[in-house]
Order: sequence, then structure tokens, then C-alpha cells
Amino acid sequence: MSENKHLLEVEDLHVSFFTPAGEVKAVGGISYTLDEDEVMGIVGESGSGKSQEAYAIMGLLQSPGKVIGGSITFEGEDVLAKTKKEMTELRGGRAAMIFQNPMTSLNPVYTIGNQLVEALRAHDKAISKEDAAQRAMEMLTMVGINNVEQRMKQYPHELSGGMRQRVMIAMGLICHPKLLIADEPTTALDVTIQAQILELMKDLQKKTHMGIIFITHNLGVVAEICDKVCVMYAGKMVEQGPVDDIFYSPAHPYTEGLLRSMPRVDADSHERLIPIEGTPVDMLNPPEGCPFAPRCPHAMKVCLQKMPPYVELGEAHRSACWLRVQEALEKKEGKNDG
Amino acid sequence: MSDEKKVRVRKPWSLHLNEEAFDFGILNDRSFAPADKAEKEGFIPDRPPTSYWKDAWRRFRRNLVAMVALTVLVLIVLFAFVGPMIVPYGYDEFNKGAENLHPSHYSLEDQLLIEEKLAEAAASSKTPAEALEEARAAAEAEGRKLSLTEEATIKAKAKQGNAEATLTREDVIAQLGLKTKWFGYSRAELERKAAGESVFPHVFGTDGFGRDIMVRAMIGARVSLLVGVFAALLVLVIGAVYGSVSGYTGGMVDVVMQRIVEVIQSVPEVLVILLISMVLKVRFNETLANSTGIIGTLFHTVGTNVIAMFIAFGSLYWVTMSRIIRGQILQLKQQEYVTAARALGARGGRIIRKHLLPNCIGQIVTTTFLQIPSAIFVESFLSYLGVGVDTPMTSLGSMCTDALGGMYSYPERLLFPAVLLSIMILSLNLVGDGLRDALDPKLKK
Amino acid sequence: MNLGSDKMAKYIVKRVLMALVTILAIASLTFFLMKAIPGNPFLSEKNPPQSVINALNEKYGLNKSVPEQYLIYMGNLLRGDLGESIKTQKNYPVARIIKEMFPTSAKIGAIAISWAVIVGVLLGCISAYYRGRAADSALRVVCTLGISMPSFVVATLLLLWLCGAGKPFPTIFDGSNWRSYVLPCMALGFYPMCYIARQTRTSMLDALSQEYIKTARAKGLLTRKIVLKHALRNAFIPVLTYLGPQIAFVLCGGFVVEKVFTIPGLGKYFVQCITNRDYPVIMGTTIFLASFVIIMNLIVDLLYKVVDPRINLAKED
Repeated sequence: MSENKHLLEVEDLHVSFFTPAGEVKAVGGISYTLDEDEVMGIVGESGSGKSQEAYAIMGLLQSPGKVIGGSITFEGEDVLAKTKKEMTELRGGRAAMIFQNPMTSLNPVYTIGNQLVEALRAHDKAISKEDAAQRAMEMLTMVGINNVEQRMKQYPHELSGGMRQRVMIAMGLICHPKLLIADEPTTALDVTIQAQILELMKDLQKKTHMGIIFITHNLGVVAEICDKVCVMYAGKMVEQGPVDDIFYSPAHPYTEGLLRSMPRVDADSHERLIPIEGTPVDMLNPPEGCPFAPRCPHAMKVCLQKMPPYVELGEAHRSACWLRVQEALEKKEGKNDG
Repeated sequence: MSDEKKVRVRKPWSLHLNEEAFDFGILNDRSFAPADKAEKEGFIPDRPPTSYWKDAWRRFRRNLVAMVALTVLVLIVLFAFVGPMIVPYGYDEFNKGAENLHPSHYSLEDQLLIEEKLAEAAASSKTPAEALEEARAAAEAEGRKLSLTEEATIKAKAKQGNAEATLTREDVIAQLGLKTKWFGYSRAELERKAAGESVFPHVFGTDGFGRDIMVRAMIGARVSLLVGVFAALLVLVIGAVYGSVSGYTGGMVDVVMQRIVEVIQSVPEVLVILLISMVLKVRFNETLANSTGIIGTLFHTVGTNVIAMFIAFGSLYWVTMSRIIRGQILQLKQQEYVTAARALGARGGRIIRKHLLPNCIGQIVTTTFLQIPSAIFVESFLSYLGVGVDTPMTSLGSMCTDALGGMYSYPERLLFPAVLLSIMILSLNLVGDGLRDALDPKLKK
Repeated sequence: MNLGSDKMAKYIVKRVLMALVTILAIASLTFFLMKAIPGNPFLSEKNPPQSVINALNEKYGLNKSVPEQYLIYMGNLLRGDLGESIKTQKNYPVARIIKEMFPTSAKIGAIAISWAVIVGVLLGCISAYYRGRAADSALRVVCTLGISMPSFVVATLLLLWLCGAGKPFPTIFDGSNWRSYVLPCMALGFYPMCYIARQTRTSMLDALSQEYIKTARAKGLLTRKIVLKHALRNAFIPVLTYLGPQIAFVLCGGFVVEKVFTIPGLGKYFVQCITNRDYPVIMGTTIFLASFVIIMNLIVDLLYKVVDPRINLAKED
């Protein structure tokens, strides 16, 4: 693969839901690239469109949701142009997805083995049942499940939450995908289990060199595992960049707010967690302007009138905030003056 | 530790703005001034503050099926409650001379025409005796006598000819190509109408006693609706009281009360309702037949059967409602603001009114409303079996039973109440479904 | 696993006990209702000869105290003695009447519920699959209509339109002719069919909106397989719970359907007894039918637990 060819390229993606009450612009113009062996975090609060954006890549958008603009290119192929059948082949094959709640993401009435084998045989029609079961057990071992023969015969409710999420991961990886989208895979788990699952994912990523999109609302998780980060707010990408830049020089008040509201191990014990005031905007009638403005401590008049353009802040680090625009303009003026 | 706080290095930003794509026109000298609070608040477009009910009504209006059903329901209610004021006949009034009318008639002229034709046909045919007389006279004129065999043949021929010649009413109508007109009128009523009097038609015809079926259907629908509504209210009250007591008290009381609920829930309701209302009806008839006073009057006006039926409904159907209310209360009890309200000295009643109701009003309204069609359903079943609403009162169910006898000659007597009953329950069900969707948007996701 | 089966045994015991208590409750209710009937419910005529009264007192202990009468009554029930008919078929034991009459009713009821389940589930799935499209809307209206038409309306309409000379079905019921069964079973099964179709649609839509369906889609399964394998099995489990009440409905609907089609079953007989006020038969039959329904409910409920691998017994309490 040549240098400039990315595993996944998302360009100005727009996703809308056409509800009886009107159009909800769940995703309003998202662009990023993801390479092999790279982990990208998408961070935002619930309802910010981060999951819908991922569903669009997998062709999992449910009516009344629709991609209404932009492009998605996966391994050089236009995903949006694919037929239903081609999408079925893509899903679970070269691109896999795991979900937030391992309690409900496995079918309660079928055994673990059944569901794993099914995932494999959906893409490898030639494989025999025995071989498929063998592979399934290998995968289970790989995700750190012991006693696999017995596990294969168990039903989801007989397993703990962490165990189920391991099964989900095994199921996602069983066809050796190039891309894994993990939609809040640790949110529903206990903190200790969360750490284990993260460790497992990091480990698997090193082994398989796949690209991972890690969707979460937890910046701590992002710091653990990601190489770069997209921060989303109300369907808009407000900031993106390498993980260090985002953490150490956040350029958007929303990112700053997120960081301030995140508990830190190294923090002074007197330091208070500062919540972000207010509630997100109504996605049904999104106002012109920056959606974060009403909650932003630095809001300016222009913020309420127009969505800010992106300002490049460093290598692959950019942000959409009028403060940065103002600074950029001032800097230029300064240069001109000087 | 705090002294050695790790200092984070903020990377300098390159701050590059793609100016070619940037429209400077939107900026003015005030653009970068801080926005004041009012501006920020005004940012989110003012959606008119919609109350829960307004919002629900908006959703309901969007639901075409529910709106059509609601319209039909309103029409049925008007039919049942306003209708009897317009129609001049009483539901138990025997209209003499207007018995067994179909909901259609032939005009007076047509009827006269039919009778004329029939009379003609009768006149033209001869009885066997007449034919024999004539033949004998003819034979005598020829100077001979008829043999017995000849006489027999002539008689038989005359008989046969008559049979051929005898026209039935239907034949005449078919011959003349007459068409029926809408609504039922008796002959006498048609004559009165012809004389210039205004006569109200029997739109659905009349029964064997000359009672106007449309009025009976109106009253029947009214009785069915009232039974449904009152049964639903009864269920609401009993269920709410039982459920809130059970949920609010908790502990052993709750356990015992829930066991009772489980027992009642596994009882086949209709069967037991049938039994209870049957026995109570007999009992009430016996003991209250001669009683006076408030209860006596009540029983006389409403009818012992109906009261027996209510008691039967009330004793079984509240279970679902009580479960809903109990569930809500249990949920609420765990919530902190209720604990806070209690700590501040709010009493149970106030807590229920202020906190419980707004939470589950949608579910309560829907469940109560859907109780109406199900009560009407059971009422019609009981009335059909002769255990429900009894003469002289009528209900759609008992009208159907009454119509069974002449089902083949007068199918309309069955069809009108049966169809009305079905449409009524259907529209109630559809409105109920619509209510559920409108009031409980969570269910519709 | 052991814990699970232990829980299961506990659950079964609990459910069986509940069923017994319910039957007991209905029997007691029947007893007290009988006591509430003015006069003597065991007597047909107003002033019977002393010998008859004595015999009755002997049998039911009518001159004893109420608790004693209750015990005698319950004892009789336990021995399967449901009393004797006083009018419709004088002095004929109710238990024998039920034994002779119930098979016909049960046969029709069984056919009705069977086709109702099969067609209902099928229509429900079709409706859910084509959600929001014309087929779905049409099915929904038909099914709502179906649960809005009392059985007597359906039965009489069928009788009116399809029975008699020159029409495909006979007016007089003849147990040996299959044609005789068609319309009664249709009339009886229509309501449960529509009810089951509605419920199946709901639970199918519910199943289709579950996370595991999203997982199945993310796995790259074909839509057909997702619906048939992952959704249907889950959607069918709750449908089982509606079977109990539907069996009760079919039994009660049997009263009117048998009356309309003049089927010599328990239902028609029961209706006749209501008209004649033949109390012992009414009471006995009620206890029998109620027990039947409760036991069927119990079976369905236990079956449900077997079919569903999630033994969510903790949720029950």
C-alpha cells in the first residue's frame, strides 16, 4: 500500500434522520483518515452523532437515518456506492464492529459457539462446521477466555459482562478484519473489567495491526489506547489531532471542558472536577453558529452567528473555534505590522 | 505532592487559517466582543414551550388512523346520545301497525300497483269449481253430459293453470321492475305521509313488536358505551387505590397483596364474571325488587343486571392497573427527591399527586381508555348470553340475541347492531392505540 | 448450573402451589355465590316434597353450619362430585355431563387455537417485516378489527353468509363431516389469531430493535437469516405467554359459537343451563373450565421457562 493511501478516509460526511418531526442532522460534516495499525478515538457526549457516524461506515444506519453527503473510502473502495450484498460481505469480514452493551449484544437464545461459528461461516462458506468451531475456540483463547470447550456450549446469560465483551471481541476479530470499530466497548463494564478489556484491545491491536476506531465519551480511555482523537459536539467535529496535542494543548473550549471534567490520577486532591454547564442543543432545529456557544464560557457575538472555520494548529491538529480564528487573524496582522 | 505538580507543556499553535475559503464579510468590529447572557439564551431558537398534553395532541393528530377512528367514535357518540332526541320513537315503544318492517319500502303508488296486479291475476284465474260449471254449461249446450273422467281432467287442469297463473308478490315486483326505496315505512305511515303529515322513517326497520330498531341501536350503543366508561373508571379507582396502598406500604402487606393479585390474574376472568353477574342478578332481583330509598332507586334506574355486571368487572379487572401504579410507586420510592419531599414533611397524598401522577399519567390514561372497549366486549358477550343488560333496557349484545330468531328473513336486525358494535369497539381500540403512541413516546422509541 | 435447576424446581413448586390456590379460590367463590342465591339452588320447584329436601340435606349437609357445608362441598369436589343437574337433564351428574360434552368442545377449541397460533404468528411476522408499508397497515387494520368483533358477531355472520342450501357449509352440525368444523373453528379462532398476530408483530419489532440484531447485522449475516434465526426465536417466546389467556377466551367463545352453530358441546349446554338457571351444572362447569384454564396456563408457563434459556427467575419476585 502506498504512503498516501489510507485504510479509511471519511470526507465531509453528513448523516440525517428524517423523523416525523423534521430532519435531525446527526452528523454534519466529519472528515478524517485512519491508517493501518492506527487507533483513533472519537469522543463526544451521547447524542453527539459519534455512533451514527460509525454506523454509516458499516452500512448499519437504520431507517429513517441516511447518509446525505460526503464520502467514505475503505481500502480505496467507495463504501457508499456498494450494493447491499457487497456491504454484507464487508461487514464482519474486512470491517468489524463491537457494541457498547455486551449484555444485550449477544442473542440470548443461542450459545456462544453458535454465534461465533455463524459469524465465521457467514464469510467463509467453504469452512466445515468442525473447523469453524476450532477457529472459534482459538479466538476465544486469544481473547483470554479459558475453558473454551465448555464456554462454546454456554448461553450469554451464563457469562459475566467482561466475559461477554471478550466474546464480542472474538466475534468481531474472527474473520481477521482490517478495521475494527468499537462503539463504547467498555462503558457498560466495571472499572476493573474496563481496564482488562482495554489492555486486551491494545494487545490485539499490536498483534493484528488493524486500524481501530474507538468511540467513547471517556477521555481517559482515549489516553490509554488512541494515537489520535476526534472530538465531536452536536454532530460537528470541533477538534481533531494527535492524542498528545489534544491532551496538552486543547484548542477548543469543549475539549478543555472535557479535560477539566475528567478525573486525573495526577491531579491535586484539592482540584475540583468542573462540569460543563448547560445541556446540548436541540438537534432537531440546530441554530446557525457554533453549537457549543450557549455553553461556552468564552462565547463571542460571532459564535452565535456562524459556524467557525477550521484553523490548523499543528501537524494534523485542527480546531473549529472563533477564538482560534481571532488569534490566527491577530497573529497575521502582527506579522503584517511587524 | 501538590508542590511538584506536573506542569504541562502547551505546544505553540501554528494557527493557520485557510483565508481563501474564509468569508471575511461576516465579521465586523463587534464580532469578537463577548456575547452577553441574553444573547446566549436567545441562541437556541425559542420553541414554543409545549406542554405534555399539547405535545401528545400534536402526535395524535399526525396519526391518520387514530384521527379517523376518533371521528367515527365521535359520530357514534352523537348517534347514541343525541340520536334518541331526534327520532320521535321510544326504544321500548310498540309502533302498532309497523311491525316487522324491513329498512326499505315501496312507495305508496308502487304498493297500489302491486295490489292491483295481484287482484287482476286473482280475477283472471278460475277456481276448479267455476271451470267445471262452465264446462258443464258448455256441454249441456251441446246436448251431452260430461263423464267423470272428463270432469276430473278439467278440475285438475284448472288447478294447474291456477298454480301457474298465481303470481307471488315477488313476481309482480320483478315484472313491474319496481325498486325499493330507503328506510322502512308502514302502509299507514305512508298514507299519512301522502296526506302531508311529516312521518319519521324507521331507518333500520322495526322488530316483531314494531319497535324502531334504529332507536334501539342508539340506546343499545349508549348503554354499551356507558357500561364501558363506568367499568373503566371503576377499574381505575380500584386499581389505583390497591396499587398505591400495596406499593406505598411495602413489606408483608405488599407481599400478601401481590399474592392476591397473582391469584386473580390467573383466573379466567370472563368465566368468573359470567358466574358472579348471573348470581348477583338473581340475588338483587330477589332482595331489591321492593326496596325503596336511594339504593333501591339506583337499582331500579340502572338495572340490577348492570350493577351486578359492574361488581363483577370491578372485582377482577383492576389487576393490570394496580400493577402499573404499584410499579410506578416502587420506582418513585427509590428516587431521592421523594425521600427529600418526605424528609420535608410532605404527606403521602401530596407525594402521589405531585410526583407520581406526572410520571405515569400517560400509561394510566391509555390503560383506562383501552379498558372501555374490553368492557364493552365482555358486556356484549354477557348480554348475548342473556346475563347482561336485560329487558326493557337493551344493549347491542342483547339486540343481536333478539335478532337470531328471524336471522334469515330479517338479517338486518342482526347486522345493524353487530356492525355498530364492531365498529364501536374497533374505533375505541384504534383511538386507544393512538393514545398510547401519543402519550407514551418512549414506547414508540 | 446446579443453582439454576434448583431455582427452576423452586419456581415449579411455587407455580403449582399458586395454581392450586387459584383453583381453591374459584371453588370457594362458587360455594359462596351458591349460598348467595335466594332460595335453594339445588331445587327446581318451589315447594318440593319433604323426601327430596331430606335427600338434599343428606347430600350437601344443608342443615349443618356454613363451615361444615363448605367442607362437605369441598370434599365432594375433591372426589370429583360436582353435583347433579336439576333441570336441563334432571338428576344427571354434572361430572358425567362434562365428560360426555367436553370432548366435542375441546376438539373444536384445539383446532381453533392451533390455526390461530400458526396463522397469527405468520401474519405477525409479515406485518413486522414490512413495517410501515401497505401490507403492514392492511394487516394491522384487519387484526384490530379481529379483536374488536365479539365471537358471536363473527359466528353469526359466517352462519348467515356461508351456511345453508346452495352454500358450501351445512347449517346443522354433524360431527362426522369435516365441513361442519370449518366455520365454528374459524369463528372461534379469529379473535385469538388476530390477537396473536398483533402481539407477534410487537414482539417481533421489539426483537428486531434489539442490540443483538445489530450485532448480527455487523457480522454480515443476510437479512433473511437475521429475521428467521435471530428475531423469530426471540419473538416467539413472549407469544407463548399469550396462549394461556387465549385458551380461556376460546373456551368462553365456545359458549356462543356452539350456540350459534348448534354444536352439541359443553358450551351450548352451558348456555342452556344459564337460561334454565340450572345452578349445579353452571357451578360445576365453571369450576371444571376454570381449573382447565389454570392448568393449561401452568403448562404454558412452565414450557415458556424451558424454551427460554435465560432463567430470569430472579426477575419474577
